[in-house]
Amino acid sequence: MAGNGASDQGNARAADWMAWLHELQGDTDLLGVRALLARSATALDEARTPAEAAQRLIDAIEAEREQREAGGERLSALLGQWADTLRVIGPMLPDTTAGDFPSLGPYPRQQAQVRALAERAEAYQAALARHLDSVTRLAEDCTAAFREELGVDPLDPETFSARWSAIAEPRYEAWLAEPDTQARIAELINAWSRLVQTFRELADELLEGMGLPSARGLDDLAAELQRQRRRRREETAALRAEIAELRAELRGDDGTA
Amino acid sequence: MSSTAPPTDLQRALTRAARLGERTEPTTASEPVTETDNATLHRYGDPAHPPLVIVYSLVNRPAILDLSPERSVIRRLTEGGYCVYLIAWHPPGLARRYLSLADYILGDIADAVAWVSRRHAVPPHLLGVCQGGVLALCHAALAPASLRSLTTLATPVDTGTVDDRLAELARRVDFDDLVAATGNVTGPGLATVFACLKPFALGPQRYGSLAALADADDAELEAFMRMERWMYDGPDLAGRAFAEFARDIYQRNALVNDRLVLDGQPVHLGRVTAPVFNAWAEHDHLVPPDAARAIGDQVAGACETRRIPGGHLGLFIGSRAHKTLYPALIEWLRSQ
Repeated sequence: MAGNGASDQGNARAADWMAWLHELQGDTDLLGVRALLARSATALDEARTPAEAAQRLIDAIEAEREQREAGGERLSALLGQWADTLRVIGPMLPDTTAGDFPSLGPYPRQQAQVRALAERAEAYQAALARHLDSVTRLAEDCTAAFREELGVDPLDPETFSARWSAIAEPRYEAWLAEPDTQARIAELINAWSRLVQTFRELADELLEGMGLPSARGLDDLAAELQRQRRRRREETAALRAEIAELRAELRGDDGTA
Repeated sequence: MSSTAPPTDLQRALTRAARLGERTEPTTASEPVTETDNATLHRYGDPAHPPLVIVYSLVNRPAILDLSPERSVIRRLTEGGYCVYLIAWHPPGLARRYLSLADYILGDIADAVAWVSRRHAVPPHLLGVCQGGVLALCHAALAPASLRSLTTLATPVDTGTVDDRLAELARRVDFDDLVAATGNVTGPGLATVFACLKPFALGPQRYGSLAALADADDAELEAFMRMERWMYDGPDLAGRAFAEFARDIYQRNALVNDRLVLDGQPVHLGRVTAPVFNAWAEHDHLVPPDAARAIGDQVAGACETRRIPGGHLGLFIGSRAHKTLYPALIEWLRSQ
């Protein structure tokens, strides 16, 4: 039993990590538009009456919103756990001070990073909430128009999806063209970028503290390779120019012949 | 109940599409002839014919230029009497996240053009596609004597025009922060951004049209699936080059404002002296007409322009483009 308990705990920890990474790995559908479309399509596909279509659509949009919000909250909780873990293992690292004291002495970086992680997680959640509010308003506008249309004109269930697209598409495009929407989307992307960067920095500290390779170390190698590549390209270009000049001289067409 | 219900058209189309498998061979035969630092140069057609080098975008793969025999830009050009070279970019691994636009333009493109010039003993025609058109324009500005002519297809040059949605969305994003977080930028991530500009056309409407192919012949279904793979199987982009492009071209509008500098070399479009053929699509939501049209006002040489009804991809696979645009381009190339 004791063995099983340890194994369960290990599995739970692994699941936490997976959830953690899943929440951060948002660059494939950061705005949630793809997921929203997929849910809407499924909802409409299963509807058989106009009223059912409208209700299923509203439910689907609400479910996606709830999932996004839950994702933001789960991320925040996981970040909290991570910060706690860092405090516990802090003494193992040369550049940390454990506990809840203000950072003193020559190694304040680690604590500043943990604080930055909390601030940036909060900023990301706030940006996500603003984006979700805006998407909700758009979705409400679209579903209200969809309901109105279904009410006056009985439809074949096969055409629900086409009608939904015809109603939602121009509204979505107008929403995307609004400067406020564009600002909110940029804010969300920027908040996500800063959060992930901070996480990377902390992960790098942890790995390097244990003598393991870090992303930062790989970046250093990539940057060094890039410097060498650039130097070689410049040298090759200079040599080519010199060869071209010499050839021109040999042909006597350098303008001085 | 649902297991005994007859399959819908969409289910039948999907079942058939899955059985077709993935055809990976290109439509037009080619051979790799040399390597540059970040690309393989592929040759199509008769090496005795005059050379034309295609610079494809770093986004997506060049398969769109050779999707089927009837809709192959490369085939139109080889049939038109040109020996076509395609710069096929290698997707960067993590070790190449710091590749810059200068590496691609001053390195790979310059190397490919020099290699082709030596082989054919004449300067090649250069043809740039979408973002590749920007890279080709930069090369033409920095090495004007290396080219016989320049063709740009759906190339964004002026990103300060009204209703350039991509430019508007890019305006406030901190791209340095973004690539510091992501390293390279993933192909699927970018495909999602593009799909978010037209989510209904590329979602329910597109997959609705797949249902209509339930009884179509294999070739039509295969063409749909090849397009699907092309749209969502884009390569990753080197983080630095992506950030530079987004910042310089989309945020600073640096080509039109004459402020682009590559490795200390200013890029002035006014130095493009080669004759230019510039074509764009009238309803392109990725590269709006005004963004592409601006090339003619910026370059020093003569600029022939063509606009084609339809969207971005119509320029490469549309029947109208293949009936009118490419014959016109070939005629123009012959006159240079």
